[in-house]
Amino acid sequence: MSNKLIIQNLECVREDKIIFKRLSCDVESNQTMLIRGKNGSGKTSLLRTIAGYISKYNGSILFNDNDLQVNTELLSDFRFVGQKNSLKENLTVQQNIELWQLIYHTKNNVSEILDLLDIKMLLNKDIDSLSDGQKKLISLFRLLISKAKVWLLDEPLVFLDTNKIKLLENIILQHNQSEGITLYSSNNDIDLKYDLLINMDDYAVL
Amino acid sequence: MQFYNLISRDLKLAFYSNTNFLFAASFLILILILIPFVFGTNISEFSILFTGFIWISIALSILLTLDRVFTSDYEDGNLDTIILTQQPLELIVCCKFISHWIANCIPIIMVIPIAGLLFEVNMQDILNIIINVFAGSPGMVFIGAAISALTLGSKRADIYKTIIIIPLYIPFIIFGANQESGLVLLGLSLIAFIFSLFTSTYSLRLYAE
Repeated sequence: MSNKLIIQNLECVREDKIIFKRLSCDVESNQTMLIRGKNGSGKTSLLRTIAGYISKYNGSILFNDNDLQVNTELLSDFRFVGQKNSLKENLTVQQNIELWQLIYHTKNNVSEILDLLDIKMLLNKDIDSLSDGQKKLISLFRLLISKAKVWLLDEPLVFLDTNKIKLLENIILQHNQSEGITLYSSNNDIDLKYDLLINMDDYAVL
Repeated sequence: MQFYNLISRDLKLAFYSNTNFLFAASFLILILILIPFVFGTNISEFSILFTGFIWISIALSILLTLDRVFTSDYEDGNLDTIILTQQPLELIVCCKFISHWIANCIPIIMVIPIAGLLFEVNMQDILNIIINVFAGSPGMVFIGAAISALTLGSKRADIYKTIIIIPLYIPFIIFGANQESGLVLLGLSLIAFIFSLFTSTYSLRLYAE
């Protein structure tokens, strides 16, 4: 089944201040959308609004023709990987993964994902002994732990080296091919392959 | 099923951050060790002081570990992850309450008989204290958790969090010091549960904005 995410005339207000307005776009299965924009132009706000964290907004976000403001249960098919890594610093990688498995209610075998991300040798290391890039990579683990339809990635490329960016691009490609949608924000010069581009500077209210 | 998963997630987290289960119980014992240095070794006074010190150390150990209910998950982003699974927020909050109580107060309850024997408190009194703690400590955990949920996201909330919470503990400590008020404490805990559930859910709903 193909999926479709439609954003119509979205206006985001935080603390009585309009962040952006009149934002419309639609993303379909097998597409990646890049969200560009200056610092503070509302990239994170847009992603957090789509993920349902910011529930007060004007306009509408439709997923497969259902309004996400009403049918919030559809959001369980969304994965949001933000700038916070969701990692417990004093625990090992293995332990963090076990905690995620309980959150996502899955008992899948993780060794395949570990091979794919190439983090098997880090399994017994404490998170606070890892580099920022490695932490970022491990936080991407959450995307693969169970099947989701829409990925929302907030600055996923920060701290990743070129090899890892290539790897992430392949992972996103694979996700999209199984009817997935990916939205990601970035300010880097290097970009992942994308089909649609949205520039927040056009919508931001400064 | 999700209920069970979230609770076991929190307990696993407490178990892995290996100081957690031991913390509350050792905190209680350490406070009790200080008493003889303050009041001398006149044994007849100890058993009177015992109940009071149990309640004070419970209050303090709950205050010291409050960060682990919502704040640490909020800071590292795990709260985002949990909320996005679209479980009802009430369920998430309940799981947090219960798992925090298990990780914090059960160890304390288990240590009370041993500590009581050291202070030559008789068995009947120890039993009464345990019943009281069993009935009252959940309410204290709920209130603490609710206030820490309300202050999510505000920097350096630790100090005024304590200032808000301690007065709310007064009823628990008043009735806790009284030997046969287990039912009153249970009632207080139930009232605290309803208010805390409502406040915590509401503040989790707000925190992203």
